[in-house]
Amino acid sequence: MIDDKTLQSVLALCKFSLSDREKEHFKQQIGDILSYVETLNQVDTRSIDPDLGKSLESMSLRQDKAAVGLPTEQVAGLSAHFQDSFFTVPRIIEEMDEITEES
Amino acid sequence: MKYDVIIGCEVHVQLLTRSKAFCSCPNNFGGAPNSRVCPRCLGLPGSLPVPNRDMISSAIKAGLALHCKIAELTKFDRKNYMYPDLPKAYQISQFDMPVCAGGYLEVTADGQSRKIGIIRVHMEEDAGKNIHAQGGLNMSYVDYNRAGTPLLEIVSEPDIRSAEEAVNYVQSLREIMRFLDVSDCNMEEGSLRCDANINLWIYEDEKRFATPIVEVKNMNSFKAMKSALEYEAERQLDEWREKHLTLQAVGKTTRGWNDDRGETVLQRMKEEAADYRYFPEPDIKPISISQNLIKQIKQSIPELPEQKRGRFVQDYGIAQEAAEALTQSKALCDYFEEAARGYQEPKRIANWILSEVKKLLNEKQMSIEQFPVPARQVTELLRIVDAGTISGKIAKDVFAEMAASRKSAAELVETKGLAQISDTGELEDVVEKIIRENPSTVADFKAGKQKALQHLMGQIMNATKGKANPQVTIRLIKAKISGN
Repeated sequence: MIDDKTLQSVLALCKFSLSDREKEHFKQQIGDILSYVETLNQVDTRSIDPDLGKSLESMSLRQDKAAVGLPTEQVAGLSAHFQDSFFTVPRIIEEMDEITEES
Repeated sequence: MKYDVIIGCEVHVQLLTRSKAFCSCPNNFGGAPNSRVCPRCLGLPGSLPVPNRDMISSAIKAGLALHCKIAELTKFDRKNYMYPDLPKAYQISQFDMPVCAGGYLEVTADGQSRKIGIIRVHMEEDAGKNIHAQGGLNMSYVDYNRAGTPLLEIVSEPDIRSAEEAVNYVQSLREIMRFLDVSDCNMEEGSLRCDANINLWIYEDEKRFATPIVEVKNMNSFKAMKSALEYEAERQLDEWREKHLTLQAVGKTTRGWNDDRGETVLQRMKEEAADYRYFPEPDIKPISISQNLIKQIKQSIPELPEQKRGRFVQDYGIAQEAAEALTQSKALCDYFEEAARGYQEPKRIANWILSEVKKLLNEKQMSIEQFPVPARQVTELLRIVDAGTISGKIAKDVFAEMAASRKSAAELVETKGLAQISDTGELEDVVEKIIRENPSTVADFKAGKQKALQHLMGQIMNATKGKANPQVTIRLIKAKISGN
């Protein structure tokens, strides 16, 4: 079972809100999941090399060549909230936006 | 009260690659909104990132120039946060295995040169741009053209001790990135962005107290940066006197610089706690960097500003200040060296570039790369002056004309009849006439007043439209007056 503080910070990060009854339920459930995953800690991995990568040459890197992306009509079709070539979202209201309004 | 100002800088520079960091959308500035996007940089399900080779080599290049150790193995990580300009809800960045670490940059402030430590240089992708609707509309607009473009984040040690030193540090960094052709580092356009962490170490009762660290954001020019950090140091000092708050008690806060009001303002953070839940990017394998590649990149690093300055002072005999002014851009250095090649007095070339060329560049609002007069034409013009064909004063007018008409110095001097009158016979008539017309000035000269000679010179210059050879003229004036 996780504590209230942990649940609260997880909820804030996920932008979720739960009722008190749901909170008790999920505290238990998340706790169970975490202790199940903890089982993996029993495996001794000290002898395993975490390096999965090979050399830069063999790694599939991309040549720095530019190509045209999606046509605007297709981009527009990706979201129901698209207007004048912009995606639209609910207004972002934050104190810092007033000062650091991105141009 | 004895105290030290402690500053560390986090600088982001946009890389000048042709394509984005993890997809092949073009990496340009401006253009129609959302015209350079694809499933990868929009974070559509099923799309996979593939790192840009040139992003990695640019990062290595920058790291080498900053005396960093280049990682043998580097990897990307996900930095999670939710914000509309970040389509995947995470940023591909680097956490515990940055591509470069442990370097330094030599910075001069107050006539003193010091090494500022570089903690790390890492690669990451940029976010899109949010634009907030005007007139009470309840929405914001998002443009993802910038999303996924490659950035380097360069983090310094808290080694900087004044606002001036912080500005010089970022300026030196900009110089180096430009010389490496890694970034154009334009602060106004946002291709160089700097945040600074600042606090004070206050020495009181034989103890050292640290004031709460403040991260200062929104410094959009070097001027703003200097003002913001000076303001913030003062503010922290006042706060200490009033409340005695320490770093341990308060921790770290973020303040934004408001240029209009000339003050820093407390900001709320995007996330309540900086809990970015970093974890290794599962879609990109770790990358190992061979010694061979590092060697290759090392060889491609050009002579950097610091070395160039030393060489200019040593080899060309120009002053340190002139060397500093010339090494502001690689193109300016190249222009100087091209013009100075084979010319006996490189100092004069440097002076000409720093006064006349700079003046025209300012007037025409252009960069040296766009300047229409080829460097060798500067040499030709100065040789014409050296030969006594035109005066230094006329040369300045000729030079402006060269920039406007793209004609050569020789051609302009010839077609405009600008050549100095050095012919004694031709000048004699003018000199005699001026002496006749100015008897009182001549009397003054005879009485030993040097100013009188200048006055006569001025008259003769007027009469000849500035073409009289000064040396010949003075000789003639003296001869005529003493002969009278």
